[in-house]
Amino acid sequence: MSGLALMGRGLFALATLGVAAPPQAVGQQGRLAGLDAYVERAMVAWQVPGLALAIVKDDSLVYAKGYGVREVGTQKSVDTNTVFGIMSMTKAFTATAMGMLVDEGRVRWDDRVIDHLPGFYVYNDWVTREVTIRDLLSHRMGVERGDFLWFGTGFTRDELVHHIRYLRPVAGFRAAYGYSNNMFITAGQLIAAVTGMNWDDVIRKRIFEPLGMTSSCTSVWELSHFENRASPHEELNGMLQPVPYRSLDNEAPGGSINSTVLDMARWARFQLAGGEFEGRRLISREALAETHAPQTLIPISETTRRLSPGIHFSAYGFGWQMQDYRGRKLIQHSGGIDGQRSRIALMPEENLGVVILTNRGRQNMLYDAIRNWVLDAYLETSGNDWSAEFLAVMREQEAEGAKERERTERERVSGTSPSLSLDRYTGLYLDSAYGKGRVSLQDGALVIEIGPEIRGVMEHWHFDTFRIVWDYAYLGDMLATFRLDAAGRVVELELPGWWPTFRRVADLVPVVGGPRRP
Amino acid sequence: MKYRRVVGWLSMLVLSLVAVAPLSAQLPDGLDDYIEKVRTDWNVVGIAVAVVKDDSLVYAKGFGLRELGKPERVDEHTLFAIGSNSKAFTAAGIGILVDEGRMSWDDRVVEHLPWFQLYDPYVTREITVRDLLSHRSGLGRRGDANWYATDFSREEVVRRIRHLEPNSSFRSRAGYQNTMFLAAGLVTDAVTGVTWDEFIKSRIFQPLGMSRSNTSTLDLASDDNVASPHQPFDGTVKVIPYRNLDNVAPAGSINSSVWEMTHWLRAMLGEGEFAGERLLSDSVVREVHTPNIIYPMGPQTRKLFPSMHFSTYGLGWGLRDYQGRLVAGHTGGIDGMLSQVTLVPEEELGVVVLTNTSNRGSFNAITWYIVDSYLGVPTRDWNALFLQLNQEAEKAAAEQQRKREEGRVKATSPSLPLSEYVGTYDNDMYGTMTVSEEDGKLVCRRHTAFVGDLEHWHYDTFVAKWRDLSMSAGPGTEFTFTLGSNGKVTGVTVQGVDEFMRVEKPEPEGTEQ
Repeated sequence: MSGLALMGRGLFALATLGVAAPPQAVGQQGRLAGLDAYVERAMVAWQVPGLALAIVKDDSLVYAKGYGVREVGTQKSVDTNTVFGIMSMTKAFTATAMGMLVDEGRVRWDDRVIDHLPGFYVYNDWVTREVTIRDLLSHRMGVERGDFLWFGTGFTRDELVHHIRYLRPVAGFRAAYGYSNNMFITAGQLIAAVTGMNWDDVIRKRIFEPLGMTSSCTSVWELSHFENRASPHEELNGMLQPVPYRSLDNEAPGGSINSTVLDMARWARFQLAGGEFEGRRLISREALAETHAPQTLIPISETTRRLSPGIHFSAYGFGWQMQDYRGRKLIQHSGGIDGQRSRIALMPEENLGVVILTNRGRQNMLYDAIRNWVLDAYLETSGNDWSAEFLAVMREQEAEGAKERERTERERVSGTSPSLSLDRYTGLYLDSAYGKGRVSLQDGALVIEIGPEIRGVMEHWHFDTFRIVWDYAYLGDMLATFRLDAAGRVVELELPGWWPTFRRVADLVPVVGGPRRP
Repeated sequence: MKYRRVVGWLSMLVLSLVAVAPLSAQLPDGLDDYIEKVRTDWNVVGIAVAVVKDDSLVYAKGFGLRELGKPERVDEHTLFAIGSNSKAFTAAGIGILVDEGRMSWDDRVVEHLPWFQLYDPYVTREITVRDLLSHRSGLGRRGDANWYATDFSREEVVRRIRHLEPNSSFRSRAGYQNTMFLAAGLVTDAVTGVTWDEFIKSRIFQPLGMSRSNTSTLDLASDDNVASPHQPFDGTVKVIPYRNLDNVAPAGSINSSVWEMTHWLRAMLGEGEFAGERLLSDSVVREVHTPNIIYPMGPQTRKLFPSMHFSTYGLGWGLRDYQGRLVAGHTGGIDGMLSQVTLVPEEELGVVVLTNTSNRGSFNAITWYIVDSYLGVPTRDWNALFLQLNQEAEKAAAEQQRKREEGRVKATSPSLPLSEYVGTYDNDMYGTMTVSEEDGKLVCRRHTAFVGDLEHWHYDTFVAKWRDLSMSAGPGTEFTFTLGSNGKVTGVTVQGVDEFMRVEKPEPEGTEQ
């Protein structure tokens, strides 16, 4: 392992691997000729500071390389042992762990969740009774996404599972695909309930250890053990800069794993081998196949069609998304959070796996451009300049966004002022699911705080609508509207999009101590 | 357009690797001989096949006889029952109403049929028209006994479905459901004020020039080119009567010819347009060809179609990927009539196969042979493959029957004298059935068509031998009577249907203890 840590360049990587390099590795080099230069060029185009890439083929690592730097403004290069967040690629670990419990007869995919977590409750009694483990793992619950239950709230996993009962239905039960991190948190808590161990220990003992994923962990708090780690980056005010790691501890079963491309290559080989790694079986072929089988259909957008040649079907399995790509089945997942984006893609018919980890957040589709390049190389259909095609799509999306912002600006009514003096908008605002919001006057401006962490300044827009400029600039701006009752008192704050409408429940008074939340 | 280019390129790739494949997409050589061989190998009396490509009819031909023992030959205009291929018409009918803004796919069914009710109140409230058309109600393939050969009306069949306990949780998995398609037809009635039949005729058949196509076996009498259904009885093929499907029509009652079906195929492949006239919007065509539920792929399907990764159902259409293309299709089957419709939109290819003899796969052998040829991929010996599957299925059925015979306990007799089994039996879902004693034997009767002679099997189990010709082909239906603690018959479980409870004879007044 220490030898691998020294690898700087891909071609050397193959040479260094020496004994591990199978005879076909020479052929792979041929197939992958030009990849190196392509990645480097594309990284400039996309302004991605650091990237690590691994390719496994026929149960061997055939390519592994780091590119660029771990943090802008430093000379610390990314190599194949650099630790990145893999975010939602974690979901497949949760699903695989569940499959192990299925093998042991401790759960069945179609067990009702309430049989294992009696406190689990969703918006409707009948649905509560019917929800199965299969539903938790396949994004078909029909409730709102609700990421701000966990993002920046400090709620524990148990508290999050409790709060799921307040999430509102947005589609019929099992009628549509609706991505839900909260259901994966629930699945993780179900694993904990069944095993008597926390989810993190299950993943470590049952997956990391047997696969030899020695540079992988389930919490950002463990990153201090790894000096060789990538810093997350976001473009803020036109400048690409490092941002802090986000703790995903409360959302862990949906996205908290940190890993390296070498470790993830082991994971990819294990998945492609149907649950076996170097002669040792960790999960039955059947249980793993169930995680790779489609459960919930995903609508295919025009953009997806453009960027996924030969796609006719897209679906979610358990912790994996799957589709057809040029006549083959592609099993994959992306991951993303503040300052980081990643991708794993498996093509079982070609016994091929690709892992791409990057340390840039928004405005980054580079990892998928590289995925397509590699897949096409193995399918012998190269010819698309995927980086350029993805870049064009992103530019179009940015133009759309700009148009939308212009439209919003145009619709702004000038010469209005708030109905009330600013101090009368202050107060404690509450929502059953999302907790406590606080609007206060700070230096003459309204400031909104939701939970312990999310904070934004409210600038007057028109009438009783304010524009919130978030401290986490990458959350984007948002228009929020206060509602007054007949007596002229503020009663509600409508936050479109991610949050529901908060009720104003009290004036602000100075308080210390007491429980963390009301 | 780009899409097509990519696909074309892919097929080129395959071509370059396999020299034996034909060099251009076309009808396979010797198709006539192939179909005739399939017909003979499968012992099918008559087959009609048509192919459309790039909005043109490129093949339409009949093989064999319309009816065994009569000289008239099947041609491309011969009418057959298309069975469940009717489902796509029902979905298109709803699509027309969606285009007109009179309803939407996601309307709740109870908004249109306020009396509609399923087993669970929540499901009753939530179920949508989309659910009706995509086999995801959770009821599974059950409830067919309520319409098949019964006297119930369409509405009665749908009304009774409330008694059917779901066999999987709502929308959790696919379960083929004819009664839900019937309900979709009733939604059409409710929205348009005319019957489903009139609507399909005036809004689909007429604009497509399908003037001889109809929605009832009762309409067949006036046509002089109609295929008769056939069924093998211990290996001997015989003519059987048409099964009337009026009470489940939107799920399967259409009769048509391959000639007229090609108009329908061209309309679907033409994104809703046929001969310059628009029948459906392209968005409706896309919608019916967009998957709503996953169908699990068994080992047999995987073996037959290694390039298939997804098997799903849209709205009245099965949707799969095959050799990198989307294939939309359906099979149809009712007493003595088997059919298959297949579309490969990226190739603008459509194939329809209609047959008039019960069989497990002659249509498959023909369809995939033609599709492979147009895709330019190396074909397989589909006829041999499906014949082998058929043999295996027949062997399995024979084995099952052998085991059943083996499991029969000899030298038992019914617990009670036959007269004690006589009575009326009732089931909320399936209605009333009587058992009477006639000439020293028990006879069961349900609706007009179900008359069965109950032959003693063992203990209190009898086997009903149906007098209806097409039903008489099978091994019969097991009737197991149950006795209460008082030693009297309390009910009977009918194999494959449900338990019917004996209706107590009213006791004479004053005898109550």
